[in-house]
Amino acid sequence: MARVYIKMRYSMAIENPIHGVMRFIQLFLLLSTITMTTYGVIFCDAVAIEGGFKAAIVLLAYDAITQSIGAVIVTALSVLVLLTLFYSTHLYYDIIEYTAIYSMICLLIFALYDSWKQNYYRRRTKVADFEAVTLFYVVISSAWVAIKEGIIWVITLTTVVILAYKVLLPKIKVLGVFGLLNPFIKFGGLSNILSILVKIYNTTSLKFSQGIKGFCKLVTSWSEVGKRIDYCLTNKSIALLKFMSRRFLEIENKFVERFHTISLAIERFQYIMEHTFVLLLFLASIFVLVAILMYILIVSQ
Amino acid sequence: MNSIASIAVPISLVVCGGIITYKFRALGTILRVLGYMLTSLSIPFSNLFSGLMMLTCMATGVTVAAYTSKYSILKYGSASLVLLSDLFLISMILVFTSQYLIELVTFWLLTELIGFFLIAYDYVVKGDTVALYAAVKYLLFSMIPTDIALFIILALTGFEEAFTIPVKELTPDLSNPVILAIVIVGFFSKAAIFPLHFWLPDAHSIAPAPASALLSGLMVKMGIYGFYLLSFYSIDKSLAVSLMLFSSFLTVVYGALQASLQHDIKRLLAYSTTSNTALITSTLALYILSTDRVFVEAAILYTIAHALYKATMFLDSGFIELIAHERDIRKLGFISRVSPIETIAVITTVLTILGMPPSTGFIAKVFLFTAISKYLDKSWIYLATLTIASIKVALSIVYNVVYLRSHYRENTKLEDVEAFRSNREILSLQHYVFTSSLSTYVVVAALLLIKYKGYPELELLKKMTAPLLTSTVLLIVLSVTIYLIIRSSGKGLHKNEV
Repeated sequence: MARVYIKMRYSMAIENPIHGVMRFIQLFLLLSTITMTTYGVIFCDAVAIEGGFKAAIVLLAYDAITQSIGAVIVTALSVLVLLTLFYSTHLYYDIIEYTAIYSMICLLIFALYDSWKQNYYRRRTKVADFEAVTLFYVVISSAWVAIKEGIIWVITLTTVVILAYKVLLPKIKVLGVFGLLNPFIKFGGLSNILSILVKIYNTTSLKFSQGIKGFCKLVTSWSEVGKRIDYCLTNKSIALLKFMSRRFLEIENKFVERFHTISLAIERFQYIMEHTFVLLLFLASIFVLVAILMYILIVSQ
Repeated sequence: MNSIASIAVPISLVVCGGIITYKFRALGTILRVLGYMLTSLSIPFSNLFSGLMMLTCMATGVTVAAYTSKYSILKYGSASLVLLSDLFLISMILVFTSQYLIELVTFWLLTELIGFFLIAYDYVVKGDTVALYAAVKYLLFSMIPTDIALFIILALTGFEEAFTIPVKELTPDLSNPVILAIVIVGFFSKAAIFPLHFWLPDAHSIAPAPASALLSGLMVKMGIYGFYLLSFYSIDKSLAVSLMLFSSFLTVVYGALQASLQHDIKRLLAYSTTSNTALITSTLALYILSTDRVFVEAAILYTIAHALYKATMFLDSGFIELIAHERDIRKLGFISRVSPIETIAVITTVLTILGMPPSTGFIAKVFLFTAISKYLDKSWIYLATLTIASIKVALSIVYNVVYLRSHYRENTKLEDVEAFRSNREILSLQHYVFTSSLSTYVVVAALLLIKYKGYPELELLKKMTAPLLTSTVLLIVLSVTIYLIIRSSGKGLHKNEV
């Protein structure tokens, strides 16, 4: 079985070497993160834990490489918050409350990010699960840097968090809402969420029309009216949703255009600055020349 | 005498190699690579900053040497670029090895002059006026302000002292705030920091790719070296730190944002250079503020990481330009299908600057953040720097991914991959880029060796040895295992086919 898997991977790697190497790098980053963090926990080495944390950050960034710009921005924001939180632990060294808050925020970010990723990537692999658990492990271990309570603390919290992640989190439906937000984040992808809404509406209206079928057998005219209302509503709502989708796309395009206009304005400002600088340089050189001439002609004589 | 010989022999080799390249490309390239490798003999162990800058020059020189000769022939039809870029790198090495101020000023001016010709190279060879415009811009906004700064220091030092007293032991009086501001702005212009940053995107995107690699990777670091030297002189520390931090904070964010918005691959890289040098400058500002050597170490290690990263990225941009005749990311996206090796090289290089172990980027990032976080409770300035550095890391993810779009993008249509692949001469450049991408790992090994031999002050590197060795062992074991698996399954496949 394993040989078949390897053969499959091998043929895939021959066909697409980039895919193969990317998998290899992902595996390497995962193992590096775990090894460094574990080394740090066992030998009480803060630098090793920091190294593990850095590797975990690279792993997060690495996942976004082949994704859309929306996914990259979400990753960049997560990395920004995580870095700031991790390094500010030094500011509140030995304060257990801060460590607890830090751990909670990091876990929440990871949980939200992971939930969003599941929804966004639309596939769940064993590697992704393993990666999520690794990131939790790194957070717990890095929180330990601040208080240095010992290895038991790390093991207990890791176990609790992994259990919570595997058992409790899937039951909390609220986190799924975050996943639904992904089409908003994805540029130009608002139509996705609207299509979901259309789908929900269609299903509901279908159920509704099916439900009234029995009733319609008795009162046909009412059924026809219902059908017409249903038909009109469906068409209208689809038209409305399409209109909204188009409007949102327009707004988004306007936003991007505005952003580029600002960028162009800054470049224009730069251009003016350059020319002003040239003028100043020119005036200064004339001033220096005049000063030298004055010195030679008046002062030195 | 020995020190003169240790620098004169490699330089002679490089120059001879550059001349020979015109007739015998392979022999000339071997001599040049050998020459750059021999410069390691003259690395001064007494001076951490100069020593490690020499190491960076050596590593960049070795990786760029072979690429330059091939690129020059493919793009310009002759190896004329080789000698010019070699002279540029040699003059830069001489700047970093200068003992006295007069040497420093002389070689600094020489480097700037050769840099000017490198930027205007397309004008000299092809009559491209855009190149001339960029070169004039460089002359006005980089050369002149920096030279004013240098001449002010020279004037305040005195002519005799400039010849006799080592550059770090000089005592020029820079306490006057106006003079200090002029000198700092002068170095800002060299390091391409706000308000004199705008020459860089034009200059670096117009110059030939190997020249851009040297300009972006090494020449802007001369400005950083200038700031480092300033820290030895009597200056108004609060004014210097305020100026340096204010400008560098602005440039870090502005450069990274502009890089994320660019469509031209070379302009993207150029803007990212301004952002990175600004971050290094802010680290040196913190050194002036705290006088803790760990900031210098962080700055120099980040300099090495950035120089090696930029060298590979600019070499890649040259490859893309030659093979696709295009620099617009929106029109690219198929390079991974034309040259998978090139894409792999670029992905690994991007990961090094993001901090993948065991690369120079990883060491640099750990040093930088550890150094800043050590002082967080001392002043809000450190917290602000930490935030800016975090923003920089986050934005660097964005612009690096944008750059990678030139290599890999879904739904990219490419009618005829074979047409691109048939150009074997250009395609052979991919091997040099791949070799260049590996240099960052080799330099880590060199750093660890050098640390034990010459620089006991790199205390944090000693602490990092265990994680570095762990990840190196892991990388080797994993590579070998996967290679063996693929080999055995390959044999199995062949047997099955038989």
